[in-house]
Amino acid sequence: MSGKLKQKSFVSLTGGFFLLVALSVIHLTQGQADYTISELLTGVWSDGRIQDIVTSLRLPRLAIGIVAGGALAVSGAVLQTLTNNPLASPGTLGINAGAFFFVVLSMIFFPNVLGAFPFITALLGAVLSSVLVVGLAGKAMEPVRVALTGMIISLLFSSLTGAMQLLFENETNGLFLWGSGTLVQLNWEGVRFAAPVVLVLFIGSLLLAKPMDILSLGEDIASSLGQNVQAVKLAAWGVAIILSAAVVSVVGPIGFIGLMAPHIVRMMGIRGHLQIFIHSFLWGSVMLIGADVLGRLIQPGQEVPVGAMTALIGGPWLLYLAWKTAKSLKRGDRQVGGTTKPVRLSVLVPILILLILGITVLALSFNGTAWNFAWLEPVVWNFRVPRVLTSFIVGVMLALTGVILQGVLRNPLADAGVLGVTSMGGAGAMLLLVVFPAVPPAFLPLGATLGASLALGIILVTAWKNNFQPMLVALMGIAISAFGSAATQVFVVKAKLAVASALVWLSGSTYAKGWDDVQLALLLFALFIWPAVYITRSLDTLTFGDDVAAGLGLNVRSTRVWALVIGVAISTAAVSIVGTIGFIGLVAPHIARRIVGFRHLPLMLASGLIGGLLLVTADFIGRILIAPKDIPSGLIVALIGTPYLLYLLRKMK
Amino acid sequence: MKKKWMLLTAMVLLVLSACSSAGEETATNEEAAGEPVTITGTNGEVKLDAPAKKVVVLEWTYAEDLLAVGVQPAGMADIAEYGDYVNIEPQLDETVVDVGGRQEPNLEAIAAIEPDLIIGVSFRHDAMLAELETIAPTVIFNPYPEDESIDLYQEMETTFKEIAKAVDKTAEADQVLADLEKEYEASAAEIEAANLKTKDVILTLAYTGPQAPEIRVFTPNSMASIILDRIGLKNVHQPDQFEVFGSSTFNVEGLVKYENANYLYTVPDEDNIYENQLKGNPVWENLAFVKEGRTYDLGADTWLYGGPLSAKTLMDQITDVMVNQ
Repeated sequence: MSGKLKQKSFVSLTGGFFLLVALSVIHLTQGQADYTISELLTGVWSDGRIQDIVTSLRLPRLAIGIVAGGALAVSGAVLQTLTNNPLASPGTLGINAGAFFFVVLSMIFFPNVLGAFPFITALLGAVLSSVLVVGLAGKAMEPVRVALTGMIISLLFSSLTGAMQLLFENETNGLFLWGSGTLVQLNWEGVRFAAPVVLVLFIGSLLLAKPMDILSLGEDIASSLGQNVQAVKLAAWGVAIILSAAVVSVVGPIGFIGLMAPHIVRMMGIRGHLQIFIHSFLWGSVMLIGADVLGRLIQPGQEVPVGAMTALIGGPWLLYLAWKTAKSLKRGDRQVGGTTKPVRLSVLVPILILLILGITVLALSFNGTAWNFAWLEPVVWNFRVPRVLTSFIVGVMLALTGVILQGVLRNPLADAGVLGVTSMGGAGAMLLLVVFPAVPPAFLPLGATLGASLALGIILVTAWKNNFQPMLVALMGIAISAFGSAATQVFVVKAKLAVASALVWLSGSTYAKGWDDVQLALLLFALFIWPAVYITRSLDTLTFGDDVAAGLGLNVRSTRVWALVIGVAISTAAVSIVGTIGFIGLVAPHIARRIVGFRHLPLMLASGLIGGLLLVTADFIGRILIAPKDIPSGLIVALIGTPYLLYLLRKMK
Repeated sequence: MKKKWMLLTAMVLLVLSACSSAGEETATNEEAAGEPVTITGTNGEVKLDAPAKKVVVLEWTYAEDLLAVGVQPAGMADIAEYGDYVNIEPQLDETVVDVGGRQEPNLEAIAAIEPDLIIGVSFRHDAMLAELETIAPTVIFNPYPEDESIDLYQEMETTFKEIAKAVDKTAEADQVLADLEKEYEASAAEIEAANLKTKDVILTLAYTGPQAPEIRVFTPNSMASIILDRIGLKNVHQPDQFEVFGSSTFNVEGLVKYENANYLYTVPDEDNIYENQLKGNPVWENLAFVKEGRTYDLGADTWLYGGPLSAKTLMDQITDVMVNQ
């Protein structure tokens, strides 16, 4: 270790240590029983109430905070090296979401198992989601692809979790708060369980430090130096996954620590994995305890979920990081792909229309329990017909956004959800509810529009200089999206919303759409379809790459701006009608591209029809599956869409 | 190609606009007799040509209000789960139709009943009010007003009376409330005679949160707390801030402040935190009310958010456990 590094390391370690001690002292004085510091200091040494409270409630909380913060930070540091991706962390790779989903699932169906083996449950989820991410992202571990895949896996698991919370409202009452992570402890059990696991794995990570130093030189160099690259990678993945699963099983999913702590450490100039792991652990603890102290300062005596606090601090940080990362990236154009032997539209369109007619007839005739062919009867005419029509139009609109955004970003995984527009829209709507609790639901779209515009604004401002380089835009989108969903969660807790209504809106619902909605949808569609069609030609030119496109006389930058604006406008219009329905914008263009190729006009037509078909189908299934109860169609879409998307990711090597 | 697309759009537009201009008809029942009534909810005045016979309720509390005046709802949401949480007499009839979930009730199922009145709750059903109104007159109530000056017991009484008015059972409703007042007095006398060590209480509902129990402690503006008042007990919990749902959330540490009061609680059978998590916890076991045996179990299915019947159940349970223990 060079002298300079030694000095930096000393500063970071002692500074972090004293900060941790100071925060810990404050942390111990906080709690629902108001004791003064002097009462605590005198009372804690002898048997009695104060000692009981400190030793059985406050110390475990402090301890679990230190352990969890450290574990998440080390897990993040390992993952960042493994994926060679500065944006990797248990949160962004979908590991937390997967673990949490499994916890919720077993809470509902096997409450006793969860009590006995929470760790195993969480671990299963964590392993499943990371296997999915790694399997799908491919061996190359290209940063943006990994991040996008992680994001999609997160989306999948959080929509599944949302579905469960909605369908089992009373059983999962207390889980919404846990969904943002909280450090509350009742005794030492959590610490007793997590501390040894974390300790062992932390030591494991230290042992892996050397091989990982070599690994970060590149796999080729590492294997030429005689390293068993596969074994090291496998062990490192294991360490990272088990660390975060252990944390989720005790305190719930807490995001951003795993992302921020390793970066802060690197920014302080710490190098070498051994050092990075040790310092990350320390700083992770400092940050988590700090967040908990802050949360309880803001609302004394009340639980503000600590995960929400870390998200509030971490969101903007992630944005900054994404911006920095993207600046250093090479221009990363991806082939959006598509079949080279397109099916003729005169064949495809009639088939699609037949399918749409088929599902429409079915949807109009069956209500889940009884068939009814008298469509003009008021019951059907007032409720079923407009609902099916709205679903169709909105489905078309969502698919169009996907085509435009994937085209302009030249990234096959882009859509409004990935750009963060959707989640900021949700956050905007929830913010409106927090600030004006009495606002009627009809005004939610206003908040959504503001949120979505803010997201778009951030993207436009930050990406302007880089000529809207697709990678940068995608990364910013991921950051914004993470921030948006974190903020949404905070708002839902803060607003003391009846959680069920918030969840329905957030997961998107074609429920109770009437003729007014049909008219609105049609109006918006008619308004936006022309610019969408108009932009297709420029998008076609863009597929040749920026340089060729510019050579052909296209103003690449203004094309990007306009396409982004149009895409976001359409998706916001869709959100304003049905809430946040994801996946259609992602999946429909893919299916279409495999059938009609990559030229944008036929692509738009085909994916529009497919999108409409998908949402009508989802709406129908949601309506009949557990009739007379209703499942929000956004959740069904996620269920239908994700497997296809996963299959697709797998194939797109 | 472009032509085809435009043609298609035009066609769809044409068909749809033709559809939407068609009139909306709602079937009306003229056979019902009686004077017109007007009831008031958060959505304003709702006029009925005659007292409602067939009522669809989309929230449990309002079903209870109907049952209290001897009317069975025609349709109701979330019937299966209702039974797990609410224990009142009279029970719900077998014939009551399930109309789906409380959050997204099935509009077609509601319409099929051809109700005279639909009753909803604002935090769930405001968003679908327009659709519900095409089926039948709809009234929406808000059991958790933002206005801090309204206590939740008053709100319960007002809503109960409005619902009773809608089904022409005003006299019965007044009787129910009058009986309830009398029973409060009787309970108060019993409790007075029981010679309790203290009449200070806190009332809680607990469930397993992450890693530690979450304990809802009811605030003085809650319906349940006002019932405590009526029977001569004193709720000592004073929240730091206005709690719109009528309870603050505590962990064990928060209970220390109130250890000299009596501890009244309801806890689900399958999630009994007192027997599972809290057993052996030194803070819990050393709380004065635990050590001195002043904890009172009100039973798992005492619904703390309901109407007059739940109020009666709650009162009976409290009196019973405090006097006979």
